[in-house]
Amino acid sequence: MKSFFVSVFRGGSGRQRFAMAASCLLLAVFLVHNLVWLDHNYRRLPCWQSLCVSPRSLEEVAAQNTSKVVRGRFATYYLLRRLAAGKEMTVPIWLEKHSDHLEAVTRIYLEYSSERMVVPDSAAPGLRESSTETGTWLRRGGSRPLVQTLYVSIDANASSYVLAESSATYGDLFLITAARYRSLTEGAP
Amino acid sequence: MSQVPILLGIHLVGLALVAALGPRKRPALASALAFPAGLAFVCVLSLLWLVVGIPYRFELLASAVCLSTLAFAVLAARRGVERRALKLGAVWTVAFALACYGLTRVNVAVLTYDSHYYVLLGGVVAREGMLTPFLDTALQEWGVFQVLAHSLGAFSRHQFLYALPLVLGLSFIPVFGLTLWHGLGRSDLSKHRRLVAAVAVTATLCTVNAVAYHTLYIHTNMAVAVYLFIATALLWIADADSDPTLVPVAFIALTALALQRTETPIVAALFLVLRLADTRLPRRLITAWVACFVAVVSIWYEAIARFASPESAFLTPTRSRLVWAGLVLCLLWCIAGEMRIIRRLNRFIPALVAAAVLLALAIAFATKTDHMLTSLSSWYQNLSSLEQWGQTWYLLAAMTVVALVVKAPPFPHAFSIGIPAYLGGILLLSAISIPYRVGVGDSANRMAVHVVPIIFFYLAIKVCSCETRTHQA
Repeated sequence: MKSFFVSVFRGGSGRQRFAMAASCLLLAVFLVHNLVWLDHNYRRLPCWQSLCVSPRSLEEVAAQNTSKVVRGRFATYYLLRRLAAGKEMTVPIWLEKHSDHLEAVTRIYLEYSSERMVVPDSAAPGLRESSTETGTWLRRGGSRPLVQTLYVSIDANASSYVLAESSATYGDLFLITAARYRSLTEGAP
Repeated sequence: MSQVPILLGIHLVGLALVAALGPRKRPALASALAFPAGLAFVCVLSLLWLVVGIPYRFELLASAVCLSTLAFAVLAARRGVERRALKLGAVWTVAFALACYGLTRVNVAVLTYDSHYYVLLGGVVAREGMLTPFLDTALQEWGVFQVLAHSLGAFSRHQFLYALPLVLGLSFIPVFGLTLWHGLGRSDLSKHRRLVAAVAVTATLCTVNAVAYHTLYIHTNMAVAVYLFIATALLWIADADSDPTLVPVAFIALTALALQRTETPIVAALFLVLRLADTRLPRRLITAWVACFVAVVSIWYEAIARFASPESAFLTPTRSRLVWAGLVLCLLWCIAGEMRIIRRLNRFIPALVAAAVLLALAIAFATKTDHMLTSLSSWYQNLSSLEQWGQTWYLLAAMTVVALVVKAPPFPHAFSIGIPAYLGGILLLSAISIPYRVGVGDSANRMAVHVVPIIFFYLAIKVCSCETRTHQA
């Protein structure tokens, strides 16, 4: 054993031999420490029994993110881009502060309505059932952020859409064709 | 299109670039450097492309990268490439392609809000094909390098390059190991022991939990660590071994480093000044590469100055112009390097840098005591108690204390002053922003990763350098 250490740490001054020996010892401790912590940290992950594999689609990755902001904004941008890119959409004025992202990412042509666009209470269950996709929208309003559910009903032939709300404050959001929105609201009181 | 051709294209242009400009006598290191160098080249090319106003389209960009690869290959052939280097480059490329194929089969990337924002901005660049007002606003706050790197993902069928951080992180393992192997070339260790030392230190670095985490994380931090290491370590070996062929790749890495985050041009300048203050490399060569580095970064920062808002919390027109003015000052200092007064001044640069950082910290703590104490306390808690780090910083501190008993290797200031100054700089950054917080995602916690590879490198070369050789230097 002694001859092994002498052969490994030969050369240089006594200080250097000490530094090399101490560094080798610390490096070994370091490596063991790292492996123990890697194992410990990995076992704490929810996905440790399989590889922590995520979907390969950006929209799905965003929709499964642990951050409310990512799920409630980015995932919705990608959803809207997939479903409605190139279409016109009339949205409530409170979405104006998100216009940069909405236009740059979704490539939807936005128009803002200062009037509140609301679907009648009686129509809301039907719209929820007939929606083809759902998403979420994180809305910063009131005392704390609220996650609203977005119900999307896309008609391949329609080019104009409306983002309407349910009558309840901070209720659900409905993305429906402009024609359908008109038909729902024209008869409403 | 799959991500493999994109990653392979980056590797090939990097391989040709390093063969044309990089180290000829170190073929393994040259092959290992191919991917980081290629990524830096493609991003710088894309940046200049966008600033000039050429439409950013995949077919145009791919043609430019192919032409560049060809031009670099011709340059390398004229320079003369050894048969062994060619064989090694070919084997490395096949191994890289196979690794990329495997790594792109599954998505194991970690994404947070910031990661999604980089990917989102990259997607907008690729779709719009130019700098739009939306991008102009965003790029005042977000480093442009990752945005451009992820813009390439929009050309793949997966919409984003989830394999990019993993490929960069894994390609860094041979880069670190081989650079350390060459760095230990000055020590009295036999080849066999050098190999054992390089493998042991590389294994320890790569298993540091925070480093492993950042290898999967789509953000700037691993890329900053990679490029800071390449620039600093290669410039050190270039001086220590009198090998100027390492200089071009070091400056390509320095340029990539400067474009990563809004504050990284200052980091690049700090390490550059400390490294070049006592350099013995040919002044003309260094000045030419400093000029290229300053030109690229200044062009981008002047572009930001033209569209930045004066009310921006990050880069305002004044701050952007101050950044490039500082870099131009570095260039002038390089040009005037032969003047006696500059040579005399250079001796005091490490002390001046240390004094400046200490003074700035003293002022920050004196004027914003609570703010700075909160930042310091949060940072300390993060580094000492987060599971991502374990006892890493205590172990590094113990190794540093051990390393103090031996004399410093030649040209130590980029490490011995640069690392503490950078850590001080991280703390100083909070003085002009909100205080740091406790948590894995905190900026200071993430930025600490940047210096981990150079700490390992410096401690290894310091402990292994023989005193007799140190005196000769």
